[in-house]
Amino acid sequence: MVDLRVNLAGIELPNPVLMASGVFGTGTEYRELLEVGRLGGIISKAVTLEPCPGNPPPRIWETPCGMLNSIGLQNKGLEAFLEEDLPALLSHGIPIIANVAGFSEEEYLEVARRLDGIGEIRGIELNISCPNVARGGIHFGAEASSVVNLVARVREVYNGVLLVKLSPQVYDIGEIARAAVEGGADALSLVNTFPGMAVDVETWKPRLASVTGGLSGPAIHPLAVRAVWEVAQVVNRPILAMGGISGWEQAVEMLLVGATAVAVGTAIFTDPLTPLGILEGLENYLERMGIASPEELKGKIRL
Amino acid sequence: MERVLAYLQEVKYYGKAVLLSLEAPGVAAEAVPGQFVQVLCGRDSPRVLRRPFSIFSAKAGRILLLSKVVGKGTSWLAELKAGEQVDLIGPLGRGFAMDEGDRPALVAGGAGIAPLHFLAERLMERRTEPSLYWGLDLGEEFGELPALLGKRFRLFMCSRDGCLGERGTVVEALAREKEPEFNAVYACGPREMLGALAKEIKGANLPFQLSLEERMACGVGACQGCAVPIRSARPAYSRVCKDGPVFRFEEIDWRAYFGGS
Repeated sequence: MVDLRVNLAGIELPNPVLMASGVFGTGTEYRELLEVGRLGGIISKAVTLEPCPGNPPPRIWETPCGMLNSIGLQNKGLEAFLEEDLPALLSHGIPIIANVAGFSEEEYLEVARRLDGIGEIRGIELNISCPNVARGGIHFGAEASSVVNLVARVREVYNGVLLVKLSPQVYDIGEIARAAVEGGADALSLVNTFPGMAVDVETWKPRLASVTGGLSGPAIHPLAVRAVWEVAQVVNRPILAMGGISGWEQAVEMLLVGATAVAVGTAIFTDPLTPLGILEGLENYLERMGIASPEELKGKIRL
Repeated sequence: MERVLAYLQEVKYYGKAVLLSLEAPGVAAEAVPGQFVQVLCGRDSPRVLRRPFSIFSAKAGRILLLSKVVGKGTSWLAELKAGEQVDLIGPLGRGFAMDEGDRPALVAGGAGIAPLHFLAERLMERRTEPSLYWGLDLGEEFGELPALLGKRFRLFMCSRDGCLGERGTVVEALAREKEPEFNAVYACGPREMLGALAKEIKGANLPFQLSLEERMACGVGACQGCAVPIRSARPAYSRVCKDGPVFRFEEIDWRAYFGGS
């Protein structure tokens, strides 16, 4: 018998297939399209201290096997998140992780402080990798020294499970991962989107109003696998892997290079049943291989 | 809302457009004019993002979708044969409020005819006869479809090339009406057309609803991708897929809407 439960840095997950930040709302939007309660968990859309309007449209552009987005952290702010979104997220009966973003260090700290002690939230995912804002986001995640500093300060005010979400757009992602761990991260999430750009050749204008955006979808999957592999080599912390996962094979790849769990993002737009398909595929695969738990696949790549 | 594999029952070609008739009883029963479906285009290696299509008609367990061939997604659709299956999600979004006036004008540009055709059908069922204004770039764009609609509705055609109906834009045609016959306006079409229409009827103080388009990802209100700027003290956006696609004229921040792209 296969037991799909996994432990992500102390968060007991019913299975290793979660929904990535930013694509799934509170999950209620998808309730008529899939059994949300069967998922391993949901990572919320980024929460900032104050309401954030986001970037002007167009915010979306489809690319070969992927998409560019530049939402710009649109969200209702912490207060409304706690009042409106959190109860909706919790209604599914599965683990909830809050993605925390900020435009300044103080904002990150204040949100983390306010989420500390809310037991229903199983952990926070510190978003130091959003490519679509002029301040904050990726600007905190690009240099090891600022990563150590920010993560350590968040660590002081947040006692729950602390995940740090990394950008792939750095020279050495292993170094950034080490910095996050040095700061006190319990686990790492990777990868966020890759900065990208597309141009309309008829009008000579960028496809996105904010010119550049974040590339996601199947196109980035091999890049994400490599990033997870790099990080797994150098840190001894669980990894929540995301980046172009659209089927069980890609989920298994991530486990083999060292991930403990995976999150589905863009693929939910193509097919809302993607995460449940991955779950079934993974279960069948483990049965076929005679493996009792997904954790037994972790880092088992044969070199 | 549901996700179905709908059998394609019939494909009709009208000029550069295609009208698909799909068996989707659940969607057809629930749909109201102005709502849309998200269609997965491509089978073996589908497009990453579904394509939104306003519902052209919904009755007897079928929905009709009108598509102009504009890109890879829509050219895949246009090559489908009867009997094939189409993966779609719907009905989605907020439709038109239908009790706005007993003499409504329905103003369509190009493929924007789709939600207004559905609206016209439902208004006729309620014994309200709308005036349908439909503007095209090229008179031949939609083949025989204008002629067919002309038999069922009070239809005024215009085309920029002058090959069908009056020469010029649909808004110019509307403006030439000295004493407007209508007391409510419903519109769907390209950005420029909506802007010109908004200018034209701004002072008339009529109930005015528009169906807007934006690049869309999730289609269900989760991802915030299809933002439209709304009037508010601070910059704010609504979602075309969930809060729309139908908005009231006064809800939209038009300056930002036209400045935004």
